[in-house]
Amino acid sequence: MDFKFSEEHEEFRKKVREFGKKEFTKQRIRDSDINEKYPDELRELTYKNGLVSYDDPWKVLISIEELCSIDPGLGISVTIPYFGAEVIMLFGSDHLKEKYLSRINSGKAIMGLAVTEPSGGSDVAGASTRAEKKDGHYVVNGSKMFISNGNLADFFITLVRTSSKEAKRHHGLSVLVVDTNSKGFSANKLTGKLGVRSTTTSEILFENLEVPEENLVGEEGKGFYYIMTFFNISRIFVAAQGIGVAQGAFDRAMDLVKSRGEEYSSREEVQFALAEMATRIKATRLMTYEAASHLFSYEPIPSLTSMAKQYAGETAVFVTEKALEIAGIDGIDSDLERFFRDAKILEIWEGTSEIEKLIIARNMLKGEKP
Amino acid sequence: MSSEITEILRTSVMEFVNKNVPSGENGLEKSGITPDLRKKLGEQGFLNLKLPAEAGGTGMDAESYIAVLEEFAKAEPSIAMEMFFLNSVAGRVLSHFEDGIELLKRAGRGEISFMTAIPSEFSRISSHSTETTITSDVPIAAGGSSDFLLMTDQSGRTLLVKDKINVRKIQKPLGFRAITWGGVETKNSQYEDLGKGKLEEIFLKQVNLEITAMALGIAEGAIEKTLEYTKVRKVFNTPLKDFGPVAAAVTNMKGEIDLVKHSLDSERREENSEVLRHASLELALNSARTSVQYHGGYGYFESFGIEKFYRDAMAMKMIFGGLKPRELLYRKIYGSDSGRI
Repeated sequence: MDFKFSEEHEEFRKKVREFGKKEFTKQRIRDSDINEKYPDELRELTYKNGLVSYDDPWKVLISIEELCSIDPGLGISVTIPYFGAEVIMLFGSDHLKEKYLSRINSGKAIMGLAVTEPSGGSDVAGASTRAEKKDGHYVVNGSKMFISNGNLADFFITLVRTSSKEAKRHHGLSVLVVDTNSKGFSANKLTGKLGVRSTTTSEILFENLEVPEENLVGEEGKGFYYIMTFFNISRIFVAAQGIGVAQGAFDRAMDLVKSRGEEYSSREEVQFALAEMATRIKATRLMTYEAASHLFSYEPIPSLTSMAKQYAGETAVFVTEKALEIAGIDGIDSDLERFFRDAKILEIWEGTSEIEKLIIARNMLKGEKP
Repeated sequence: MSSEITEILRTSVMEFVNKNVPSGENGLEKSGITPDLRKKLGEQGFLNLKLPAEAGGTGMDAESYIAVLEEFAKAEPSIAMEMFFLNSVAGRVLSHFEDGIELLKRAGRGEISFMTAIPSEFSRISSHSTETTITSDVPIAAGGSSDFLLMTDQSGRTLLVKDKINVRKIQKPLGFRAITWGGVETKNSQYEDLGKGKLEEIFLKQVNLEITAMALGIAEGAIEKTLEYTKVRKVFNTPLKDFGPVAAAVTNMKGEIDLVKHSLDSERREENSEVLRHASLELALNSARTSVQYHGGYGYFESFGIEKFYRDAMAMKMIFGGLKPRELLYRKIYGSDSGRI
């Protein structure tokens, strides 16, 4: 058992941190948050500096963690353009990899994952967006909700129903790559989010949109399993977001406590709060790294991944709330209030905490040990 | 006042909100409490509920006043907070001064409003005063507008700054967004000295029940919407309410709300006010967080009217929580100073 990152990874972490501290300026953070503006120039800069590369998933995790500790909104914004890439990597044809992933890897395109529908966030198998085969195309009709990169993405990994309604829910789903410049595609940006306001969230609509047959990912009818496999990967990165948010809030709370002098920092209520925050962050980090090390060596443990994701979300919320309690009224217009607003989504997206708990429990009931 | 009259008051608050307060995407947080809305609040008699009679106050009893605060907080916490600043804070400190009575009269009619610098152990107020004027820099103040300011100076004295003040407005504060938040600057402004520690004393000791009422209102607002939503929102073709953990979490919150509400309605409320203050602040945050969670993606958007409860509940805890009020609670329970080595 070795709890150390390699020298290369430690160097990389340092590089990411320095980049974030330099480029995530107060002005950029504020502008993106208040005006709900996606920082595209920062995305390009992050890409050019080689901070998000799928050659090494540990580096992706480190980037997310470090950048989110500086600012969660911007940190997620610059690491989310690749959202869903693993679906093509794992299940896509060589044609799809060449056509789409090469554009992503060169920083020229943004992608997204379109799974959630207006009627059911957690119920992936209940997807009702339909795709029917016709003259060498799939014709897609339906809508998706709360889609990240909705107004930005060049293409979406889209979950569609290809079988009849009578077929078993899970078995009737497939995944298509949908170009957003296709006729019949439209996106409505949803504004007024509580947090992560620099990311773009949209409702997207498909109206008789034609998708070439070769844009089918893998096999027809296996979409549900592909998406579930993807979530088992992406949840690790959400856990990394949680570590970053919690660590960033903790660092700021610690600075505040120290700045108030020894009389304040020696108060045991304050020390207990700091201890609880620190302990949760450490536990989240260890759990996430363990889950990631299984996943990145192709031996994923879904229950452990779910534990990491659920605990990381709760830790981010817990730590940001505690940090604001420490800040008191001074926190009303501070970095910490933004961290607090940004934290809550981590308990909701990529599988709510409730869904994660069901995954954990069902695996334990099958005989898995924690 | 009978509970029947209190119920009538609650109904009239809801009717007022439904008729006059914008909701949805372009809700009150976008428009803020406008002079027009303030005037309507004044005309309906909501702004002078607890002001002294000589300032035009209605002489309302505590039970009814906290019921009105609770009801406004359930719908629009910002309105409750502005009413609180006027009736519970300004009403207490200004009623002993002739000028103060005049200002309260006008504020009670909704003609003017003011800001209050929130007392804080840690915010650094810089101030310099001569006998008649003050130059100061107050980190955080909140309220209606910059007609006048209640503040504590460096030496802990409560001042009424009577000149127009300069507010560095916070664009998107964490909570209570329909009222103005900002840092405040005064330069050679006229002021009246209201005495040592007045403002802090009020925030720490005299408004526990009002704080409880507002926090309770936030908790109720959040959980009532969650109860309704979980009945109709289906996941896996099943209403959310039919999932055990959801039902447990929401009903637990509802149970805690009922307990606090019962205590607040009880004649022993004053006796338990420190406990109620802390319990309700915790309850508001827990309820609002639970509400956002069960509203899922929809609850994360301002237009749904849920996430504001979470922000406001957190802001309540930041304004009215903290170590000093907690020490008062320890003292209450132990009967002597405790919790400090």
